[in-house]
Amino acid sequence: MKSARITPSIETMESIAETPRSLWTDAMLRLRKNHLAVASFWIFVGITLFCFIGPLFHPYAPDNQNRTLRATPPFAEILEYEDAFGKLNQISKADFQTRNRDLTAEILAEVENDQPFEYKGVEYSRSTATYVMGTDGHGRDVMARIMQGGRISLGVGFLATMISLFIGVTYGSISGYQGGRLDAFMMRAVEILYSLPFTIFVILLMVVFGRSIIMIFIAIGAVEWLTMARITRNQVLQLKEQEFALAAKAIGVSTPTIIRKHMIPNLLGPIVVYATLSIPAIMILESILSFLGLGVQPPDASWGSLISDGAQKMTAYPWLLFVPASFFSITLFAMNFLGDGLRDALDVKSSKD
Amino acid sequence: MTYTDRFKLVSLAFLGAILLSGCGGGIPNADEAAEQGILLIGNGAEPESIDPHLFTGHPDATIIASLTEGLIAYHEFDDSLPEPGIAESWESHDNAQRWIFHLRDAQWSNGAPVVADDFVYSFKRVLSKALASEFASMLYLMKNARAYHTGEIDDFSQVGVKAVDDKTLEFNLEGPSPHFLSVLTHPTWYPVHQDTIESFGGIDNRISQWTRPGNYVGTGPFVLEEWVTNQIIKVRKNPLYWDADNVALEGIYFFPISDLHTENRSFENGQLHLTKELPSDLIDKYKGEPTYRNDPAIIVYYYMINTTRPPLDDVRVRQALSLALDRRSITDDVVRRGETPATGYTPPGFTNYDPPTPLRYDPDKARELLAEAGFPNGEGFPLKQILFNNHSGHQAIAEAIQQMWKETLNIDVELFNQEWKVYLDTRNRMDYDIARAGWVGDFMDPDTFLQIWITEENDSLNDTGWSNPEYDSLLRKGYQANSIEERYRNFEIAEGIMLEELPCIPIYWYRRPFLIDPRLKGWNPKQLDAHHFKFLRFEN
Amino acid sequence: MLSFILNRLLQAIPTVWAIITITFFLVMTAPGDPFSAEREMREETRQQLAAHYGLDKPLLVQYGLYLKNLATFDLGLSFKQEGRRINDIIVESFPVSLELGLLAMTVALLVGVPAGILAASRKNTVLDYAPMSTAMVGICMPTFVIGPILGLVFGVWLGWFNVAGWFSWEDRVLPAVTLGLAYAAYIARLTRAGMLETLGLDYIRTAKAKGLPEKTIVFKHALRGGIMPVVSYLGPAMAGMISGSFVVETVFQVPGLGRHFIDGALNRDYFMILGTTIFYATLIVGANLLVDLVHTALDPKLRKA
Repeated sequence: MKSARITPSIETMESIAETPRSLWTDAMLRLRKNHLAVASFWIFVGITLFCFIGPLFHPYAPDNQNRTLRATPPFAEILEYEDAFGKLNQISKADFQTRNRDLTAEILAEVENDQPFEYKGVEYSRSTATYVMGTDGHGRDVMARIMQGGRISLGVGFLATMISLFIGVTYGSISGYQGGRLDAFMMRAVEILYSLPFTIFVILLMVVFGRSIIMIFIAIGAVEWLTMARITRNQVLQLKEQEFALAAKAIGVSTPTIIRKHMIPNLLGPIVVYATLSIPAIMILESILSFLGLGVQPPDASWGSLISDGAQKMTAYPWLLFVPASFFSITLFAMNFLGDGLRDALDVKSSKD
Repeated sequence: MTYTDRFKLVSLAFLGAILLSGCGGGIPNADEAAEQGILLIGNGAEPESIDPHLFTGHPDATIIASLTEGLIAYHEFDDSLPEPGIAESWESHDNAQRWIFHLRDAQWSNGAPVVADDFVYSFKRVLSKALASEFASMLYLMKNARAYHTGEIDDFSQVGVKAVDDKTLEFNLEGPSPHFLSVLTHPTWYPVHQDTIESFGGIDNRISQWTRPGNYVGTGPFVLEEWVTNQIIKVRKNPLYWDADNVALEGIYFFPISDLHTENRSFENGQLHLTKELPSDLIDKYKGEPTYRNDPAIIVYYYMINTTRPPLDDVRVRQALSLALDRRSITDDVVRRGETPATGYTPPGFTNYDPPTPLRYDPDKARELLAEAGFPNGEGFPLKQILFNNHSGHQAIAEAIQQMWKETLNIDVELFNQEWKVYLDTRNRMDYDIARAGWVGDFMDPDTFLQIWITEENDSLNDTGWSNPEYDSLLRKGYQANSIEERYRNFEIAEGIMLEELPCIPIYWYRRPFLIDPRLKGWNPKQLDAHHFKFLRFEN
Repeated sequence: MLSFILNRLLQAIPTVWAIITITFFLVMTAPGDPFSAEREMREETRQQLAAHYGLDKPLLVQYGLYLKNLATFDLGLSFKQEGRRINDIIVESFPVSLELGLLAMTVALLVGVPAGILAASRKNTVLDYAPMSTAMVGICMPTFVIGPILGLVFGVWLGWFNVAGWFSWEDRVLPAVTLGLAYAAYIARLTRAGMLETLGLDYIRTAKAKGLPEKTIVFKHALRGGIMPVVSYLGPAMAGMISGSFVVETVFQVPGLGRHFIDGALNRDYFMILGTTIFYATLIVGANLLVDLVHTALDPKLRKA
């Protein structure tokens, strides 16, 4: 019977199609031996958890301004007092001393020894609050802002990458699979788009469509898909010449199904490598938009906007640069090392070119 | 050619291109420049135009002040005092409604004599419609100037200015104007050289090239030498300036450094004698240093309210919003540049003007008024937006105010920032609820602040939708008053009405923190920040 | 070769036209009004200004006029810089951006290529990890952080260079290094990868077997192939440096074209945005063409094809 003969052959083909998955397992084993990449992976997971789960355990809100506690360095000692309107305020010891130059030695000693004291009719006492990463120019807790900024920066990086992957993979597989003149035309179009000044276009898009986080995703994603399209197309070109693909075609499996079932699983390697390398690139781009004031809307922050703000104030308040810049670069380091590790493990050829 | 040869060739071509691109000459550092009598100024931004009739902002005005002088010049110490410029002497008649100026024997920088006709021509230029001068309405003080500008009359000779002879200029004003001398220091009243303007495209040509180096003809102590966009504008001493003997500086270099921290690093690095503005995060660092200055300014920072949108159309709501602001905390904890919390609208500094100062912080009264307006404890108050232009300083203040209103009145407002041009457009279309704004005084009379709230021909230009006939009539009474006392009494009552109605909520009055090389003398605190460069000199 | 060039040129024209059209309609429909000012302008004055710049006509007519002017290489007038033609502004400021770009490229190559070669020839040793990790810093730090830090250290603290301006030879150093560092990192990585690939090829093994000194192998034989990815990267890198230099130009007060673009975009200076974008795009299309040619000249295989 014809059909009976065909059924096992499809099964065979599917088992052939699954061989790359065991390659994938191999790759994971190889990756596990790369300690730097493994460490990077865990660092990345740690930072992501810190940003997304951290706020549940953190007492301060990112947009809560403690106006009297402006620009306090990390771990500064804090005093608290009740003002004339019955509001509980905090002020750092150092700031209290600079603001009130006429303190008596007695009061100074009490400040030093964490004793409650009275000054100009106001009762001051030592507060238990600690701001591990200090506060910013509006008295907001930097740690809470780092968490919030991280959610936005990582979110932008991740979502924009997803958008560019979606466009790029679709475009690249169609181009590669169809081949011929369509392929030539589509790839020429990609080459032409490559020649556009990208940063300039992202800025134009931000200017024209106004600023919102969604717009940032779309603008960046819309210009970052080209590399992915190229990689996909080259992979598909190779894959479609392989037996399992030819066989699937021969038995009349429809093109979209072939692309979806046989091509894309095999593309997973290059896609993952590219994604880990493009998230950092997108985060850098987002930071440049923030530098130009085209980034997220206040009071929201991204790491980019925090760094941009910190770079301005680095002489007066160095921690405002140091803290977000550390998070930003450690994350980028980790993503890059992880990407390199994955590339070596999956044996993907220079995907960045 | 072998591969290596080809590679070398490409590299050589590459290096050659770099070398060919060439390098310009250096700029003296602050020490050398002080020695040579050259002033190095951080000027904030690239000027948009150095045509006195098309200027738009402070960077433009500073450069124009070095190149051209009007009838009345900037005084050395006090902006409310007149300093003779091109006019040697003057007299006023009919309660300061008619003014006669006697011109000195001054020369244009091309050697031509400065005559009264130059001024008449210049005013005609400002008022010509096609020039679209931004400050043209400043000239409306002259009789029929408005009618000529709007096209109601075509005959310029009907406008209240005439050249009696080469050295005598007579003004007929719309009403008594005791502040006229101060108004005359504004660049819109400065003269331009008729033949130069005509030879570069005519009286109303906006794209004239006459302001380029080599073309510029002025009456000021310096002449334009070099202008490289976004880099430098150099002016050098004008030997034909009437008071050239008393000009100590040999030249001025203006640097359009817009990033305040870059400017600060430049000053620290000995590239500047004077900065435009010290960023607020560095104020604590410089307080008490000999280089630190914090001069008073007549600038008010306020929040405009769209009085056509409920519930902001209810005066009790506006008052509640104002009473809920702890302005002292905004100036001391947020802005921290030594600003004065606003207790009224017009900034202090106008001699003999004593407006009411009802603004205060009173959370209980604020809650009470809001409840009266139908929102006890902020319940049911619709979400409103604060619009501001994209700048970290405005953001900080907006965030503080957002929190104050939340804490005191339990109402939520959203923050919304836009780029400068979009923000202005939104404001002009009144597509906002509450918008940040500021107003800089142009001359030393409170009218420079009060006139923006007047309604003219049923057309209010204040973008808040606020219009009050009583305010208008008091202001008009002031314009026609026969004495400065009477003028100011009317203004004071008018300002009281406005502060009661609060179409805008004043927040604070500015200061100007900046850094200055202690060797530079003569840069005195001036309310208008208008400095005559002839008074500047270096002393060791 | 000639037909190759011609072919590429012919393809470039519709590309540039498409860019012009897209940019034109994007910019013209952007929110905001170039003539709005803090001091409210009377409606008639505003209309006068709009008419002056031809903005009172229907959009399609404006588009036609713009294309017509463009055909004579006239990019129009700036609104913001009163009375100045965009052509003059580009002529004045582009050489600055180009010089900055070339210098930065030199820095990037001088740092990146040797670091990459060193890393590749000493794979998995300290001499591999150290330069590659350092290179990573260049990738992980935005230029607006590196710039002010370099300015603070080498300008304010050490007093070696000016921190703002573009006057003397010394003023070029900090901006070029800041801009070059980010690209040096990529170039180092590309060189390393390219070198590793060629070092594993048969002819290198043969050379090694023949007992050639390592220096000869690395520089005479491996470098030729290993450098190819870098050569392909030069075009995009140069494009990125020239069109992406606005951050460095702002931080160091460099009077380049990038700042005009940003100022234009933020101030709704329509013809400035259009002019600079079109100029950049044309330039990059041209630069890519040039890179293709260099590539063909360097690679005999491609020349035959």
